[in-house]
Amino acid sequence: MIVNILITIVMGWIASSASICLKLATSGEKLSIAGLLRNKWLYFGGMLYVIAALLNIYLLKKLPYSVVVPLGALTYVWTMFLSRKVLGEPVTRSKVLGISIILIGVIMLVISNI
Amino acid sequence: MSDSAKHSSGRIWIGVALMFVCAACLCAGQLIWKMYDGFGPLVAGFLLYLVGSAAMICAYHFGSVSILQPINSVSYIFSTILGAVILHESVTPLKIAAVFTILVGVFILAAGGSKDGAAGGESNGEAGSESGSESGNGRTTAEKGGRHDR
Repeated sequence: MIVNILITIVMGWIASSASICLKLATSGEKLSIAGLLRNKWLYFGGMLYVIAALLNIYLLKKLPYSVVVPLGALTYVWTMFLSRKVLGEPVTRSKVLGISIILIGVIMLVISNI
Repeated sequence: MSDSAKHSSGRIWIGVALMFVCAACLCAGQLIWKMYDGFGPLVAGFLLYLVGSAAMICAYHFGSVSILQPINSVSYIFSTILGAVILHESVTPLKIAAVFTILVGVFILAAGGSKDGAAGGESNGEAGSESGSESGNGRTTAEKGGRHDR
């Protein structure tokens, strides 16, 4: 069970990294399909995204929904810190507040389904 | 130039809208998989996932990923509503409160993002110079790591 919880955390890191890669693929002056398809970050991000999705499916078989979903939502926190490190997106009050409130809402939702 | 400086005010709402589309597609896909068996529904679900993912990728062009990715949490709201309307799952006061809470968080995030126009602006919790230098480091890293065909 502990191993699976750790795997859930790692899945969150993978999902975060995927989002960062996809952001790197789409940052730039213009958004074009041709440019996107030539961008290596699209493929790195896509692969990581698929790995995270498969891990998610696996974990939902091993752990209850009420554990996987909130731990999965922690991805938003990892993304906030990872994007600061890699992309220079500042950690603002509104981000911390917004993400915290979202996490509280997710936990409330999970409790309501028990 | 950092993305947050370029993407001031209005643009991020395009990203927010696209994340809503992404969340809706993902929820619809999951619902179809849950409700129906067979090859047709499987393909339909995958197509919805594809469209949703495409919307998400496009969304990231319009703002910071740390603001836009959490917007996807509205998928929990869509799931709850779809579950209540189509699968007749129970709607409790706690569920309604949870949905509103998530919405409040999403709005705070998006609204904060639309103010984030100038680098190190007033909406930052950190001192202007501190976040300025961090943005500088981040920008360099991004340029080193993210240089793509132009």
